[in-house]
Order: sequence, then C-alpha cells, then structure tokens
Amino acid sequence: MNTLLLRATARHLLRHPWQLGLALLGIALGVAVVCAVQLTQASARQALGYAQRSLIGPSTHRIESADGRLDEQAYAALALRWPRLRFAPVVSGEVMLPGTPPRALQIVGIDPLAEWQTGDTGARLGQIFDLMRFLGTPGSTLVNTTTASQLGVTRDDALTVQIGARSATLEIIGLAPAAQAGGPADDMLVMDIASAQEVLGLAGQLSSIEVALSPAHRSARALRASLPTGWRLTSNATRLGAAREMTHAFDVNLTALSLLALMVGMFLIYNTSSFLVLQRRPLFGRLRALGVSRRELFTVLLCEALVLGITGCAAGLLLGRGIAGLLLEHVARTINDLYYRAAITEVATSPWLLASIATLGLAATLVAALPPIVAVTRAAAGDAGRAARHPHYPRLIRFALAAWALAAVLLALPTRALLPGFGALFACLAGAALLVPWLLARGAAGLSAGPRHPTPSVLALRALSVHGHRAGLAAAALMVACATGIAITVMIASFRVSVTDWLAALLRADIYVSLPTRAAAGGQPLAAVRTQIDALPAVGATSAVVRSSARADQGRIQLLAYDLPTAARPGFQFVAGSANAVWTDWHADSVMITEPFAYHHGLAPGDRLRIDTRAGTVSFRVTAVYRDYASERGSVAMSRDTYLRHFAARDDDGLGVYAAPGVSAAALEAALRNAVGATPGLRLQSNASLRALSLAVFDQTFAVTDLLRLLALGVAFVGIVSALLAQQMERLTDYALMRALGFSRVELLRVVLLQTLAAGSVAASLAVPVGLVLALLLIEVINVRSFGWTMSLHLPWPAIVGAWVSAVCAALLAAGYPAWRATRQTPASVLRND
Amino acid sequence: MNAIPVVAACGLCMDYGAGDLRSRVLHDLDLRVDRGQFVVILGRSGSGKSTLLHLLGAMDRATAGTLEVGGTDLGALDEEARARFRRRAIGFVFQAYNLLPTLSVRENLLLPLQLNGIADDGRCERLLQRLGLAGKAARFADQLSGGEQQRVAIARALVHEPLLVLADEPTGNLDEESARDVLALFVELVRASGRTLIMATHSTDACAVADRVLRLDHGHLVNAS
Repeated sequence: MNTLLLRATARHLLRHPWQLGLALLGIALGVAVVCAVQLTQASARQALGYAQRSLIGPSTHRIESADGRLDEQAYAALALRWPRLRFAPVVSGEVMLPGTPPRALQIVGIDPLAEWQTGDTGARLGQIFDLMRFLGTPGSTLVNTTTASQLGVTRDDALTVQIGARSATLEIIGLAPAAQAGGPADDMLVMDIASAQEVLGLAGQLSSIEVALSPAHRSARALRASLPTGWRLTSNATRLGAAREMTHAFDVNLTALSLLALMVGMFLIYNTSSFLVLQRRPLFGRLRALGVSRRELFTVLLCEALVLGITGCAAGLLLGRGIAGLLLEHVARTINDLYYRAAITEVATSPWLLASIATLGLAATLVAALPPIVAVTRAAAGDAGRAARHPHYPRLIRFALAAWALAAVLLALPTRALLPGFGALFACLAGAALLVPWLLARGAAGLSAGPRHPTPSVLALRALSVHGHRAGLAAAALMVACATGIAITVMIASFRVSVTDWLAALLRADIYVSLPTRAAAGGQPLAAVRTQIDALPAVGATSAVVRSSARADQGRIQLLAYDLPTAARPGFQFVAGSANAVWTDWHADSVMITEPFAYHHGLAPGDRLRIDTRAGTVSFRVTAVYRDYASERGSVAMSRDTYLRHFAARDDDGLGVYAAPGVSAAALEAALRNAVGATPGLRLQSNASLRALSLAVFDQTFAVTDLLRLLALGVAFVGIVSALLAQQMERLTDYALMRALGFSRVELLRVVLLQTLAAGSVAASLAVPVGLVLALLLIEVINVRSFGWTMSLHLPWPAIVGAWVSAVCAALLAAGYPAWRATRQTPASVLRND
Repeated sequence: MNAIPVVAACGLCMDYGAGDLRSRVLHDLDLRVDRGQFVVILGRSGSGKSTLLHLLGAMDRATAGTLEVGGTDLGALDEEARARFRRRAIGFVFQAYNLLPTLSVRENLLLPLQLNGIADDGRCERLLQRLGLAGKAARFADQLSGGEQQRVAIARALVHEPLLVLADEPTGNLDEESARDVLALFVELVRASGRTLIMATHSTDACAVADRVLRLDHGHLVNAS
C-alpha cells in the first residue's frame, strides 16, 4: 500500500484528536455494554458449573429424592446391593453468616475415606490439611482461598454460623484451591459428613449420593430401577442443563438490551465515521485528481476503519470488564432470588468469549463505517471534492416501510421463539429511526416556509431543512434511546401494576407463617404449629401449602398442594376455565395450572396432565389456568386431599392465617407471637410486609434492566454531542458569515440552540408513540414468549412526559459545548481559512 | 505537426443536470493539440473552461463525442483505468492550489512518483530548487504563502513528467507580481521539458507567450482574435 496515501489520510485524524476520540468512544461504549452483559452471563454459568460440580472424584450421576432427604440406612443397603459401584454420600444445607448484610453459605459434608483411594478428592480439597482433624474434630471445615479472602479468615480461625435459631462454631483447618483451580465453589464449607449432619441437624439423613457410572457399565437403568420409592437418579449433565435452561429467558432479555446499546453505538460510529470521511472530501478529491483509484482509496479508508475498530474494541473490552463488575452484583442477586443458588462473585474472563465480542464489535464498526466510505469512493473524481449530497429522503422512507413490513412478517410467523420477536422489535425501531431525518427536515421546512424576515429562528429552521442531515442523525440516535427507555419504563410499570394487583388479590391472609430453614433440629413441623394456631380465638381460618416436585410427561414439574379456606379462593385469578369448574372438582383428580405452565406446555382447561405418583402415572384433568407471577417455569396446583392420595406426606411449607371477625391484623399477630413465637426458626410476616418484600424482589430483578437502559442513554448522549460538534464544524463558515453580517454572539447562540431544540423535540416527540408501540411488543410478544406471563398495559404518564423532557434537555445539554465553540470563532479567522 | 496529436477531441458535448434542469455546457467541441504546444483557453466565468479541462484530465466523462489524449480513447476507459491514466499522463494545476494539507512540500511531490512507481532520482530537489523552494521541503501547505503553494502545485504537476499538463487559472488567486513570476516560471519549465500545456486563464501575459489562444464562447471553441 502507498505509504504516502496512508500518511495523507491518517494525519488528519491525528490532527483532530477529539474527532478521533469520539470515534473510538462510540465503538468502545457499544462494545463495552455487550461485553459487560456477556461476561456477567458467563460468570453466572461458570458459578453454576462450580456449584454443581462434584467434590468427590469422577462422579457422573447423583441420587436425590423429592423432599431432599435420603435415609442413611437405605443408602447402606444400596451400597451393599451394588458393591462394584462407587458411591459417595453427601449432606448439604444452607447456613447464614451473621453480619450486615448476612451471607448465606453452603455446608457440604463428604466422606473422604469412601473415595480417598480412588478419587481425586485430595487434589480438589488441597493436599495440605490434617485429615485426622477433619474426621475427628466436630466443626472442622475447609473453605476455598477465594471465600477465605472475602470473609477475612484463614487457617485455624473460627467461624460462627446460624442454622435457624441455633448457632454453631466451625473451625477452619485448611484452605482448598479456588473454584477456578478445581477446588470447591465459593461460599462452600466442606466438612466431614458426620460433622455436617450434626451441625445441620440431619442425623441419619443424607442430601444426595454421588455415583460414578462408567459408560461401559450401562447400569444406570438397572440402578434407577432398584432405587427406593421417591429416589431418583439424574446425570450431572442433565442437572446442569436444566439449571441453565431456567435462566434462558433472562439471559436472552439481557442480551437483547445489550445489543440495543450496541445499535445505538453503531449510530455513533456511523455518525463519526461519516463525518471523518466527509470532512476529508476535499482531500480525497485531490487524491483522485492525482490518479488515486477508487479501489486504492477504499482500501486505505477500510484499513483506517479496521484500525479504529480494533483500538475501539480493545478499549471497549477493558471498559466492559469494569462494567461487568458493577452488573455482576445485581445479576447475581436476581439469579439467586429467582432461579438457583450459586455464588457468583467473580467475573469470568474467557479468551474465546472476549474474541467473539471483539469480532462482533469490529463487524459493527465496519457495517456502520462502510456506507460513508462507499459513498465517497464511488463519487467521480470531479465530484469527490464537492460538498456531500443530502440524504435521499424517498429512499429512507422506502427503507423505513420495508423495515416495518419485515416487523409485521416476523410477528405473523406461527412461532413462540424469541428471536423473531426481538427481530420485529429491532425492525420497528430501525424503521422509525430512518424516518427521523426526513421528519426533521420537513418539519423545519414547514415552519420556516414562505417569505419571512431572516430572524435567527427562520435561519435556524431553514438551515435544518436544507443542511440538517447531521442533526437528523443525532435526532435519530436520541429517538432510539428515548423510545427504548419509554418502552422499558411502560413495560416495567405495567408489569409492576399487574404484580401488585395479583399480590393484592392472592395474599388474602392477614399473617403468613413459615419455617425458612428446614434443618431446624428439634423444631416442630409446621403442621403442628398450625394445630396450635387453629386453636386460638383470634384466628378465623388458616390455609396451608406444600411445595413439592414430581415427574410428568413434560419433565420435572413444581407441585403446589393447597389446603384452602373459602376466604382464600377469590385470590386466584383465572385466565382460562371457570372458578366453578375448579372448586367443584377441587378434591377430585384435577389440577389448575399457572399461566406460564399452560403457555410453555400448550395446555388448556379440559386437557389431561400425566404425573408420576407413588402408585404409578396418574392422569389429572386440567380445570383452569390461573395468573401467577411467582415462577416463570410455572406450577401445578391441587388440593391437599388430592396430593395426599397420590404422594408421600410432607410438612407444610407455609401457612396463611385469617383473623377472626372483629380481630385486627395487629391483634392477630400479637396473639400468634404469644402462642407460637418461640418456635425455633419460625417466621411471621404480615400481609403488608410480604407484599413489600415481593415487590422489592421484583424491583431488584429490574435493576439490571434499568442499569442497561441508562448505559444505552449514555451512549446516545455521546452520540448527540458528537453529531452536534460535527454539525458545527460543517457550518462554521455559515456562522462566520452571519457574524460578519452583524449577528451578535447571543443571536448566533440562539440559532444553534434553536436547531438543537428542534432536533431534540422531534426526536423526543417521535419517541413517545414509537416507545408505546415497542412497549406493546414487549408486553404482548417478548414477555409472553419469554415467561408465559400476560399483563395489562399501564401508561405511567408522568414518567413518559419526564422522558420527553429529559430527551430535550439532553439535546440542549449536548449542544452546550458546540454552541460555545461556534460563537467563540472570530469571523475573520474562519473566512480567511475557507 | 506530429502524426499523433496529444489531444484530439471531436464533437465533444457536456451536459449537467437532468430533466428540465439539464443544461449543455460544451457544444460539439473540436480540439486538436500537438505535442509541445502551449494553448491558452479564454472565456467568461461559467463558459465551461474548467469543464473542458476536467474532461481532458479524465476527471469527468463527456456526454457525447470522442476524446483521445495521447492516443488513448478516454471514453472507453472504466473508472479504474481513468485513475491510472490520470496518474501517469496528466499533471493538473488548480486555481486553489489543492495541495494535500497533511503532507509536507516534499511529500506532495513524492506522491505522484510513488503512484507511478518511479523512484526519486533527485528530481524533487531539483524542481524545488528551480522553483525557489529548496529550504521549504519540510513545510506544510498552511505554512506557505499563496505564491509558494502554487509553485509547489506546479512542481507536483511536473515531477512525474506527464504527457499533458493542464492548468485551471493557475494565477487566479495571486497578486499581479506573484502571478507574473509564477506564470513565467511555469511556462519556462514546461517549454524546457517539452511538455504540452493547456491553460485556462484571463492572463494577457499568458496569451502573449502561448502558441495558440482559443476562446470558449457559449460552449463553442473558437480561435481568439
């Protein structure tokens, strides 16, 4: 390549560092947001992998039961029956580390002697620790180095934990390798199995049994058939896949938001690239006149875009790594609250993931930078130095209509896949963005039409209508960011109102009672507590629920067994089927299913659901579908009587207590505390506090969404500043001429700010209807396909108006520096250099 | 006259715009210029002088007619070939100098040589010396006066020894004294190298030393009286 050619084009960039900086910033910001989301998701997957990974040798399968407890005697019998198989019993349970805030830790009790000769437990747990002390001293525990560092503990330190109402003091006798090095997962306390049983109050019980089945053995089926009733054998791969599947919709939504930020970033890249290219049109014209061919010029500019892209992507990856650290805490809390338990504390940095993100960023850069490069190289040599042509508005309108047509086609596809839904969303947004420059030019032309005195207002609007293509780009970027913000705000508001209404309808009891930590040794079963509560004069009625799981044709399902008083029945909002049908057959072999369950499995009232029970598979009739936002996987509800006919009895998981007539909620709570308050581990919550807690979890879930929305707005703001600066550069001669003709600085400032106000107003005004359409798509398509939930549309007008005002203010703020620059130039200096 | 003229244009027409806004700038223009000739083209502003030079320099395509420069039919060349023809056979001097602002004086002269794969055998230094710019080789365009910039542009147009040198009002932006000096130097260099020069100008000094003076009048080329 001609080095002088490279030098001629590249030196311009180095002489205008702010333009170069803005170009790099656009790429970096877009890449950073995508990188942050992808790294966060990879961290969650990695943490899940560590949490699910066995500590005991090459385990391939796990034996568990529906209620999480295996009888130790039954295990001994199993081991005797299968002497050639390698079994490793495990006891596990959650404990709390007191503090502000309290921290949940996982105790995992293992039997190292069972695997010591054949497994690689030593490698996982660390070679240097006292085995005799581990086996012989109650409370001896190992933690990995990461957790030890986070807790500020080391070898031989004591650790006091809470199990329900009890506390236990553990002793750290060794530090295991970090999870990334093959050690235990973070926040895991590894103990001898007997010690763990004692601490957790699980004497004679196991949580699971690890087993290693070689592929040649083919004994999985036989082993499964020999298991006691209620025990199940699942492969590690299946368990990991199921856990990952749980967060699929959450992952997709996060990814879509990050891609939206990249889309806004691409506007920025396009704008700065086009400005960098178009500002050098005279230079390119001279080069073409000297005989530089189109191909040579195209190659140089493409190389330039590649270098910018690589540099911007590198900066974006670094920035994204930092943002991932901020996102991680929010995502971790959401996943732990809603999906599965995993200590997501470290950002996973995979070279392959970073390379793929960098490739995406580079591709986005080239896609955004190519149009202006192609436009300037396709110009004839004689035209190459002339001013840029205005955008071809009819073509933009045709593209916009084509984008909307594509959106309609994607929505009409008979599918439940998320990709077409998001495709329609982006196509809708892109179509609207393409119209913004035309709308701005038409609006400005309309307002300044006709013979008028050349006041600053008229001049400003005329300039917009004729030369406003760059302002049109800025307005398009602002519209995209603002419309997205409005869409997400409306969606979240609608969701929140729907959840609030649902909670208000569902939570009809005055007080809710639960035992959070099942391993409360010496504690009463909740059923026994209910008996005491029922006897109180202040209590009108109680309800109870058992949460269980079972295997059905659709796979593993969540079962809810309700014992409901009549007062509780109106709490269920039926979206299909009738209340009469439900309650008439409530005690028969019938079930009602939640909306997500019905959506994901294509079930409706009248269909049958086959569930494996202790007596074999039973066919239950679906009587209704009811609204439920508690679980995106969905649940199946039946009466307590029906449950007990087909499944093993379990303790209640929660109680609802209804006050007797004339008794206030406060009086009821006082009576309950007096009667059962001393029960170890018992939790009493008022209706109001439970609603508040549920809404707090809801708000936490969308904290990540809000953060990403702000990032997208930040990218758009940078884009607007860049576009307005570029516009001022292009119009410097015009402004100098106006000053030479007698316009004061204030009048010139008014012109610049009026143009920005017009661009911002058009963008913000178009963003409202576009945002509402996007919100409808999010509610009626994306949410339904992601989670199976339906909700009513709620328009938070104060927030929508606030978004409009914020967008206009952002545009004016962005114009501050460019306007100041435009008015600082002396006319002579500009006109002399022209 | 040489057997193959440097420029042979026949029935050349050039239109701008489209539809109702279409206007013809050059009407059936015939022109023959032999090797070594210095031809001046006079004409009012908007008469089409720059248009003609752009056509001769393969920077634009005629709407109709034939145009051969150095025996090459410019109408038969695609865009890539035209670029290569330009770099090899044409040296252009613009009224507004049009130096590359991001290259130094010396680099502006080296660029045509690099484009043609010609090594610098000291010709850049010689040209700069001849044009009185020897000590300014490292400077950039914004560090030179108008006259100096135009002399660099002249040197750039001549450094690769093109077949045809085209100058579009080369002294239009200069004061009278600078214009005279630049013009004299320009013509001397072209004559000395035996190049063919076609210049669009209002300068009577140029008319006085030209071999032929033609006038563009409403798109038609006539001999100036």
